[in-house]
Amino acid sequence: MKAQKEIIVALAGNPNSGKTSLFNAIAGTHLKVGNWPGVTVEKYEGYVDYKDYKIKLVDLPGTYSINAYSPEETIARDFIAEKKADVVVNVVDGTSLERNLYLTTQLLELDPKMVVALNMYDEVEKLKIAIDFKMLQKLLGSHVVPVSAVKKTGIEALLDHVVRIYENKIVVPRDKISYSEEIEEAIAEIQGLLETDIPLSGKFSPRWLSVKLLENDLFAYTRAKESPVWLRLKKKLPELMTSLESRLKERIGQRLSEDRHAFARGAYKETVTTQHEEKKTITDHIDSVVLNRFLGVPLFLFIMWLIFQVTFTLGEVPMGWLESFFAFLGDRVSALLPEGVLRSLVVDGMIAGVGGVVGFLPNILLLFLGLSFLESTGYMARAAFVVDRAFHKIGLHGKSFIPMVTGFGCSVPAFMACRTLKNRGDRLATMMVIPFMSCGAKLPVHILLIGAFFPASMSANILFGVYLFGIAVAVFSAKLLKSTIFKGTSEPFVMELPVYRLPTLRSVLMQMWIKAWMYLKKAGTVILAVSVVVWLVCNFPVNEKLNLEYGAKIEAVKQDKKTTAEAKAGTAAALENELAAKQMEYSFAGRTGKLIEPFIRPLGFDWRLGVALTAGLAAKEVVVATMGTIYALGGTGENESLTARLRSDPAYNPAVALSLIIFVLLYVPCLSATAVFHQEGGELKITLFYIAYTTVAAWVLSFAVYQAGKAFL
Amino acid sequence: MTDAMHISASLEDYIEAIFHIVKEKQAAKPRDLAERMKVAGSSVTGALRMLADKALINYTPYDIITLTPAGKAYAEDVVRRHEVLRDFFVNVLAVDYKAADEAACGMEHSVSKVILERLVRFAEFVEVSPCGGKDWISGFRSHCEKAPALKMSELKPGDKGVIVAVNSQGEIAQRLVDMGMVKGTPFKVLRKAPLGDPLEIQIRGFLLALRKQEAECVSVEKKAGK
Repeated sequence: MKAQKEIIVALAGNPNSGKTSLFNAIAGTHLKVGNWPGVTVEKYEGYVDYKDYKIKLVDLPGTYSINAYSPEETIARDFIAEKKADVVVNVVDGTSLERNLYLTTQLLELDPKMVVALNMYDEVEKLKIAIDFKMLQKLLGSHVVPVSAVKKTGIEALLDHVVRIYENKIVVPRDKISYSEEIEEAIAEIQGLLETDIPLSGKFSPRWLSVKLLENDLFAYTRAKESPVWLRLKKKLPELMTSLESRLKERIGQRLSEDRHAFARGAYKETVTTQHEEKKTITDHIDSVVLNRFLGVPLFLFIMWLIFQVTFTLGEVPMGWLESFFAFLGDRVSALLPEGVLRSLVVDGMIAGVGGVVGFLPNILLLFLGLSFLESTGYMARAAFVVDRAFHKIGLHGKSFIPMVTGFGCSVPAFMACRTLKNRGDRLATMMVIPFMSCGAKLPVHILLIGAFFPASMSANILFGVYLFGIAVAVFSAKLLKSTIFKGTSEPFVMELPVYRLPTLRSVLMQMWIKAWMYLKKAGTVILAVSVVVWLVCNFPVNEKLNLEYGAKIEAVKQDKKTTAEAKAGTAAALENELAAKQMEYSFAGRTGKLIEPFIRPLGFDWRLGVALTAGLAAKEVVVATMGTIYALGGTGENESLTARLRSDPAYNPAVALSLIIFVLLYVPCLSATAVFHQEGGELKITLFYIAYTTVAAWVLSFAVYQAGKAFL
Repeated sequence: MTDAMHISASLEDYIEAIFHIVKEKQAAKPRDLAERMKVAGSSVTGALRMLADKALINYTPYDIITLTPAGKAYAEDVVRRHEVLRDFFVNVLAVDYKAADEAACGMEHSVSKVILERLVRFAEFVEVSPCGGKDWISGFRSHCEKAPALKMSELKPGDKGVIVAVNSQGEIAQRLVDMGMVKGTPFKVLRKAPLGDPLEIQIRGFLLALRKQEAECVSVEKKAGK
């Protein structure tokens, strides 16, 4: 077998140019999702075997330009400028060539080995747009290959081009994009100087560096400053630029952009002829309903409601299956392992912990399916457009709503979804308020307490009220945070509304799977680790004396000849529960509960709730499970429900219940979510603040509710 | 802004200087300011207090100085007046750059908005119709009446126009320019979002949404016809 040579191919293009679809069409399922180093921008890699080569594809972030204003642009620019790719494939949307060619002009300047993939060619033909390929190739100085990622046409030809360009079998005459005369003169002068520096001009295209120096680009300056030629440039450059600016009567960067746009427009006009002009397109028709003044907002709310309905109703069924699967798994493992610490660790710690989180997978898959569908049809951008005004008022961005909606499902993917927000302040502020959106794991707690302390007729309204309360706290917090610590300019809202397209099932499923996979990976690592920690805290140290004492008691009951077998078993079970509860009290979790009792007393909580809340740091539904264990204390052995037990406990009343609901709603999300927050936020300081903020908010509001409740309820 | 708040010429000079220093270094220190204005430290403190009283700057002694949003808007206004006057002197009256800059420095505090706009339009007019003749000045008059400078945010859904300039700097300007908003580009305002903001335009064959706030940075010329 021959050793394969590897060609690294970078895909560069505008957002919505179908770059990712093309990537999927070429690489299929050979996909690796990671992060670009140092930033929260996803990196997609894949490969395909073609002829004698292994072609490695790197999907660069979609950008409109490569001026390095955003992390995405910087990644794309550096990757190409530093010649990390052997061949660059510039993906352009054939139905929107004029705008797409602007990026092409910038890419060409970097002078890589490049081929233009004219994507969506099936639509181009359907719309009867005629493109003069020969002319376009001549103008761009780059081969242009028509492809359709959706119909999978032209892909062979594209790969063939990539290989031939790599082998230097295609050499295209490089016509450069010429700028205004004055600028060209300045470029020539700088370029002349740069070319005397052989190492530097070997690394970067000297013409590109010259243009970038004129644009005051940091990357270009840094590279130039590292080279000996800087000594001569240092004097020349400011002189040149001052005189150039006064001749142009505008900023140089401005003129450069204008010239590039003019080139793109010119190339478009010369090569593209369209049949229909000004005819109403499907997009116009849909938008006139979806963005209608009166219908826009109700439709948006309806679509969000629909996604929720689907997520929770359809998700319930497989969720049940998963729960039984994990219960079954726990039983089987229990049977295999000898009774003792190891079994408890594996069954009660690992399987129960991971199972609890993986149980949400169906919900999460459905939620992501819905969101991916809306995203790839083009509605998501419209939704941001519709709600932006309201979100802007509270200091957030239209795009913040996607993560916030996701937060009703689970904070973990919601934090990850914040990546769409480019501005750091916007992103952190959104992440800070996501925990207040009541997540799925908090639902069992709400249901238990509402069911126990309020009449059934009111419970739905109270539950709804709890959700609204969370939203209100989120809104208030966003406003507060954006006007204090995350002050500063928000990201401008300048956003393309892409043409509506019916996505292929494959690409929607792929997007869904990528996100779900990231969630599962977290469950497999972070959540597993956290489950083990919480198990340790709840089970250690063990009080051996109690074990002996209860062991003796249970033995005594079993030996008792006066009672029936049934009564014996009941009493023994009660004693075992009592033992478990006492051990819990003795464990680190129990001690923590006692330790924090003075702090939670004003909220109406005793140490037992302290234990439950501490254990709830693992996952919110654990609060219910822990309460179940603790309240077994003093039980009669009859299987009295937790609801009934809470109701009969004198320490409880509706005020305590409400206070507890509010506290669980607002306090620090589970440790897994916190770990993800830390990963996405990237700073310990911010994570600590987030823990403090949520805890303080929970305490203050629970206090207020409890005190008010005591007075009125 | 100018009508609501009366600020002396020297205070305007201070706020202009702070604006420039903040632009270079993110925040200004009183020492930078004293150096730039060539005045004593004590007079700087006095001026800073007055500006802080008018809520144009954030200032506490021994701390850095930043502009409030109102202060920034005010400073941009002053700087624009300065630049318009200077360019007029250089481009139309053929005064050399340094002399023009100094003269502009003195005049910028007193010139009103109307006069300023007319100077800008006159400079434009000289470029578009360089031929003289007796109708020239009346030509200018009709040039002024024909198309008052508009902001994109002032257009209504259905209006068509052409981009004249993006009057902003930094990230917003770069974004707008990257999306194709350069001089001479035709566009059409399609609609406003249901809540009244942002707005949607059609430009260079695609649909673009932007907030009013951003649209205010773009000056346009309205085209007749729907």
